[in-house]
Amino acid sequence: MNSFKGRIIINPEDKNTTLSQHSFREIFYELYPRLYSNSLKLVRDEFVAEEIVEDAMLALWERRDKIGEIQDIKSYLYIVVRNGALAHLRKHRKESSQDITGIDIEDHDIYETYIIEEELHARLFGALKELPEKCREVFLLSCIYRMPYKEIGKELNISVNTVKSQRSRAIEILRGKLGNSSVILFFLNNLC
Amino acid sequence: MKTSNSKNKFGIADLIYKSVTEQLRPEEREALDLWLQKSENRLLYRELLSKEKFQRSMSVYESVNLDRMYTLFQKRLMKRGRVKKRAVRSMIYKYAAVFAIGLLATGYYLWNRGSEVFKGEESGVEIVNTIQPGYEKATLVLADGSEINLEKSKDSFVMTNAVVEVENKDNLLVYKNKEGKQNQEIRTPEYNTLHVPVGGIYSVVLPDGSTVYLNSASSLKFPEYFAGGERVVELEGEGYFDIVKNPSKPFTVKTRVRNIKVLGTRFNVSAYTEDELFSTTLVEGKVILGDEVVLSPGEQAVIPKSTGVAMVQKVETELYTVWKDGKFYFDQEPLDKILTKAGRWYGFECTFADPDLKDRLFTGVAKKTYSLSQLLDMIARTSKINYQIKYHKNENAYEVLITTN
Repeated sequence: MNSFKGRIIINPEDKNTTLSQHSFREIFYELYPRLYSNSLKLVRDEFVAEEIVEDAMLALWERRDKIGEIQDIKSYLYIVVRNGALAHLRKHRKESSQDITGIDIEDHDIYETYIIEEELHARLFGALKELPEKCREVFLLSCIYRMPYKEIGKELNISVNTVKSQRSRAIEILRGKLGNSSVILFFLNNLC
Repeated sequence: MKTSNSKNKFGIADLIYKSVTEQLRPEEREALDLWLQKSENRLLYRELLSKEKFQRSMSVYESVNLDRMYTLFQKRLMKRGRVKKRAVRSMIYKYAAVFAIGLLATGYYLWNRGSEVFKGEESGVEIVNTIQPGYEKATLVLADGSEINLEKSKDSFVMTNAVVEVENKDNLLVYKNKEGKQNQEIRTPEYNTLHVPVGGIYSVVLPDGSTVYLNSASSLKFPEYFAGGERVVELEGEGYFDIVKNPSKPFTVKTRVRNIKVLGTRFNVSAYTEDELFSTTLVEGKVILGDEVVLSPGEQAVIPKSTGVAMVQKVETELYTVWKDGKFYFDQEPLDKILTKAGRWYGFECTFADPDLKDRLFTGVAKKTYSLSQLLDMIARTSKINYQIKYHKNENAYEVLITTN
């Protein structure tokens, strides 16, 4: 599974670049989970969250012939999702007097942290999937949750040395992956 | 939201990701440290990497069925009538250096697909977007007939008995004879069979240290240790053998077509029962096919079922062995052969709307971790073909229909 390294930029020189269906599908598969998760955190309703992301994807699809006008597809999709969520919540608030979400997504700073969270978690999730199982557990416990080696050893029933070696192995594997260009970037860079 | 802001938040996520995976460059570390000077950011950093937060995100990501969502999305497009059949327009498809992903072929990209993907449902047939590749799933059958699911017993010892212990690690079975035992004195060796289903790939290190890679839809029968003056295994399907040299104990691969006798060497054997051709490709060393044919490195012996006579030719051995590294590799291969191979991996049968399409030649490399549509898109892109993936509900089987554009 490939993951985005940073932002997707579609040849900003050319405003007339179009997005092929193939590239669109790549983007859909890559970004759907994080956008859905973001949407779900905002509206807290799976069905509504799905619909909001679908709308965002549709908005992108409809602009595919002029994709060059969108500087940064990922930011664009996040913004459309946010707007969709806001619209839903405003409407919903009118219907019921209660604030059902508990968070104020109109607060810009809070929303920013949501995106940082999603981007970080989606990439870490992608990284975990690249790792063999034993490595994966050690990486999760050691690098992400920062548990001490000893505790990890106890939990996984392996020696501290094994923890250390699996940890370095995980990092080595992920370093190797960083050099690989993603399929999507390739297609985006070769659109015209 | 301003661009500078969006750059910032993606930038922060990137820095944190790199700090977790220890990939920060010095100037990036500085930038992160600067950001972490604010106590609220330090708090956020800790929170983002907390078990509670991360697990919540993971469970959401895992809950997403992407194929389903994409199909629903396509259906919605259809309903809205937004997918107009776009005018065919060709564009020169940019070439090679395409990392491993690209088909190393030129061609014109004829774009009018997509709109034809969802024509609706015939009875009991559903059009699907893609098939995800199978992963390494295999079973080991012991002499007493008991079956071990290797997927479930990952990273553990699957079996230990008086003479051998078998470890299952990273899609590799390792047989180790117990030290200090004269096996022959204990009992005659029992036979194990490693079955790799469609869409799998697995390897085994035999007790003599030789390694065998088993391709999709194949099986290998071998003893838990090699007794007496020879090493004999039985192959059904395709395997790549890397055999440890031992002149006093020759190694034999039995197949339905021919037996292959070797000393120490690396070679590939393709002996699928349903295939017209049986073939052995020698990478290194020396093998003897049946009693009649001796192969040298770089040579391939092909035996068609119809004649039963071996023909030897020089080949690019790489072509016949890359499957073990998780890649498909085609060199001027006809489409029907390519799709037979791919079908074994993804689990589908192929039909051609026009029989002439079968003979179209393609060259390229594709990773086996791609979804089927990625592979088919690469092929479709280089010529005027189109495809449809159908799921036959009643038979629980997939069919790929190849049509002209």
